[in-house]
Amino acid sequence: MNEQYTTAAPLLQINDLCKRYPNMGNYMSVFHMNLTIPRGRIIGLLGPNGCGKTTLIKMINGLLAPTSGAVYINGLFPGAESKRVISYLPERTYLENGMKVRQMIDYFADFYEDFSKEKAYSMLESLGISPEARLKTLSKGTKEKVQLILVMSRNAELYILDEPIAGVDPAARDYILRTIITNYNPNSTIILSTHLISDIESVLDDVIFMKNGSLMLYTSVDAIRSQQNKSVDAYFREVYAC
Amino acid sequence: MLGKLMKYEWRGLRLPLLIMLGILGASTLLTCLLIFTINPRFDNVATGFSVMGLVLSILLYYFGIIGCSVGTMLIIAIRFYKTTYTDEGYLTHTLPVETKTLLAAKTITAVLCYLLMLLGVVATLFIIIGAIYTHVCNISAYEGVYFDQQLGEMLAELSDGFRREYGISFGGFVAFYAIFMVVACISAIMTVLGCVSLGQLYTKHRIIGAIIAYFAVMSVQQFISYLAMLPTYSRMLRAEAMAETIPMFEIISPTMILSLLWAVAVSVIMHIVNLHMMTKRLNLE
Repeated sequence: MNEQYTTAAPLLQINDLCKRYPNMGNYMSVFHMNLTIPRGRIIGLLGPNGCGKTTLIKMINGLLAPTSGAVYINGLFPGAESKRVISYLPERTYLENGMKVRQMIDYFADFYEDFSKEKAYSMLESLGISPEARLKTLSKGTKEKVQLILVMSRNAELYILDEPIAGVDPAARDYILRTIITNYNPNSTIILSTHLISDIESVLDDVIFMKNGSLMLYTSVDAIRSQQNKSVDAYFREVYAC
Repeated sequence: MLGKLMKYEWRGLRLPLLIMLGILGASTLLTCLLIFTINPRFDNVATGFSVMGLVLSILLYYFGIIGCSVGTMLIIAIRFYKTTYTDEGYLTHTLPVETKTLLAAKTITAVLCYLLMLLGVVATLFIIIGAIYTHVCNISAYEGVYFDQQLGEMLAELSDGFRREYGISFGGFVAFYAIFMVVACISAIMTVLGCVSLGQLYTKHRIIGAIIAYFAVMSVQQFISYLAMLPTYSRMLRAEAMAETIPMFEIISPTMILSLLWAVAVSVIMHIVNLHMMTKRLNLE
């Protein structure tokens, strides 16, 4: 079923992708989406609540089956091989509460060949999180930091971060953004979904605007600044003005 | 990857399983203590207490094994639901493994845990029988009869009687029944896991959906089991009408074989259902 891997294939390709929820009155969350994402970019996936960002991310990660259309990662359908190259941070806390931070690091090291324990322990130390702490004893914000550390300690080809800075304090936001930039590998791409545009604008190369499940705009941050004479945040507010 | 997945599944299940085995062990110990409190002389003064003690011990043991078996099944179902369809599912389903490997790891570990619980139940059964036997020996010794000296003869007689009555050796019957139990255990686990997955079709009430699916599947299974009993009934009626003496195993074996085949079929169907739900119908909230 899977197509053969070719280095010439784009990192992420989305062809005429649709997702309909039959139990929600046939609501189309993603509507005939076409997108090609190259390597080596930091991309902001932006849009108002309910525009289909998370649905799109879930389909890329194989957590949701599309109604029609297809997603290709390195020319492959979402599956075991594509999950090997994607490092995904969901908007939810997926860690098993009964485990210790150290055990979660071992877990990631066991399953992901590209996971660096050294990098993870170094980031934990920087944020003052004890590896011996049990996850159920940590606050929601600290758990989110642990999740981000686990995700960013991989040397993946595609990082998909769904609302990575939503639940943390401003000081930690700076650290997280620094972490993202520090771990940035020219051959990998980062897709960042967030509402907090002003916080991340400085690190973005490109932006994707989504509206009502469709792709509205896919352009570079420089193009917005030069053509619109506005910051991405200001342009976003103008485009999505209620 | 299967081994790694099973390792983490086992880590998640081992503590609650150990608690269940602990409860089973405690109820067995209490039952043994109650058995030993029964007056060996069984005289008139103590008879009331002895009978009460016997009934209490049987009830305690009965509820102990039922509670622990159901509890273990619930633990398996809850872990499967949590790690597959709730927030933890985000981690499970983004691991670089095939869905079939993921499901195999969960199923094999769950079956092994349940078999471990069943082995625990069998072991406690031997302990209870041992306690009763020891105690009966004490009573008989009090009466001047030494049962333990006649044990070999009794077992030989039991084995011959079993072959005469059932048409199969005692060892053969135990082996057949053991295979039957293992297959039934796999089928029961697959049914529970399959129903948890089917419950996900009711996106707003996933747990209630799973419970409804379980009762629906069990009703169908009960009906099929009833159909599987028909050859036995028919054989018994025929034997009675023709005044034949047929060994019991010959009468019940068609039903047991049909039940065995049905259990295998259920396991396969539920495995397909699970795979379908975890790939084509996966819809994490």
